[in-house]
Amino acid sequence: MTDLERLRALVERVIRESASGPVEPIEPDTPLLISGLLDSLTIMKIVGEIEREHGVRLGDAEIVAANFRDVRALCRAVAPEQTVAR
Amino acid sequence: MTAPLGLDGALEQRVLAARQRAEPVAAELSGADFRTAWKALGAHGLLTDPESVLDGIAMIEGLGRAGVPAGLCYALTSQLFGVQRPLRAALGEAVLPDAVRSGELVLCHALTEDEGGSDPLSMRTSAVRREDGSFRLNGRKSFITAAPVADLALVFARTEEGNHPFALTPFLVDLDAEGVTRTEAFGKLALPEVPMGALEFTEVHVPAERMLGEPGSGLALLTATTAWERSVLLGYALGPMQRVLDRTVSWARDRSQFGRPMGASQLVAGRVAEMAMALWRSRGLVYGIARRLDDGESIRRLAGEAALTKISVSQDYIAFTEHATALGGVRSFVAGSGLTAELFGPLAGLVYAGPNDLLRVTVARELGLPVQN
Repeated sequence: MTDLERLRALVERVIRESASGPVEPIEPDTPLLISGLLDSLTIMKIVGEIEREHGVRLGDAEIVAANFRDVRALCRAVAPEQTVAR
Repeated sequence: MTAPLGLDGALEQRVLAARQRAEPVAAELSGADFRTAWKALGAHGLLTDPESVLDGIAMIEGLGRAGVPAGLCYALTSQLFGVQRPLRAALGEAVLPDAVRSGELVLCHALTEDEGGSDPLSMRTSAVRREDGSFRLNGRKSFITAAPVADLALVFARTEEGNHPFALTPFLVDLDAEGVTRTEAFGKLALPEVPMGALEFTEVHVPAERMLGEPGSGLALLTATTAWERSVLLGYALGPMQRVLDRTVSWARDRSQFGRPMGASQLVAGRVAEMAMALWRSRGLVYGIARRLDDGESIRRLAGEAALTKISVSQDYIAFTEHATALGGVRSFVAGSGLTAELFGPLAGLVYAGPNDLLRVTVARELGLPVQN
């Protein structure tokens, strides 16, 4: 499974857990912020899950809008560190 | 003297060492204003963060056991673990001036506003970027611990319109800067040894390098500062609780009622045992999470445990205080009786560092319930 697919599945899972109603499937290009799919608790939960599953730590400067626009952007923020970590 | 509950020998030695250092100072502190008291503690090296969180909490427990007023123990715990640690962990050692570490400079955490603190995304204080990269800060932060005496403030301000999660940015603001006004200290009933007040910012110039992180990284930092607070802030209460337990046991042994020691009553003994359990649980939780932080666990991943710790210890502190108050009888309500109850401090724990009811929502979210604030 590619990093992008793992991350997509992770984001979709956390969003579904946090939502009180049904959620459309999350694609790599689904806008996450404009649609209001992500509130602050959900964002921090995604960060926590990335740290747990991918074994990387995101710095404060990486937890910003540009990296949470969609899963593809998030993957770009996570992946470089991941290659370093391994 | 009761045995210290829930401390292993090595930890107890560290607590006792701090108590010994603090005892001569503690006597000077009653009735002193915050700055004088703070300076006295600093002169004995009692404001400096030791290397580990565990040692820091042990030091603060020692201060409390020596009789340093609870409000000062609270202020120190908040300085070290609510502001300094999270800032250094997120942004490196160089983020704070050296004089902060010795306690010479006092920080405050300016997040809450008059309209509320639990919904930070709705805050009004704003920072507008100028062409040279600096910011203009405007707004008012309220109910800020140490604001009347602080030198520097960690200020969260809106750098974008709307309630979206990345609208906030943190800044380190010099409180001597032009355009900063402090209100008078509020007439605070809980933990009165550390003052609380408001800060007003009118067209305050904040240099670009005083932005902490990136535009929009306020959520990440405030998640960390609040999770740190929830983890160990209640550690301030361990020393005062031990003192109250000790004096309650002495009172119950020495006081004679119905022709026997008060402590021969099983109802009295039961209350004392309940107090011991509350202290036992609280120590276990606070030192337990301190160890995990020392082991390098990410504060973000401890958010759920931090919330559980804060709720549990604050509730236990209230229950503990109720038992002590009942056993102290009328003397609980007389100043200088030796058994005077401190009621507002424990109850304030319901409200600061995230109201317990909202923290329950955090806990339920961590468990996977789709519950919203």
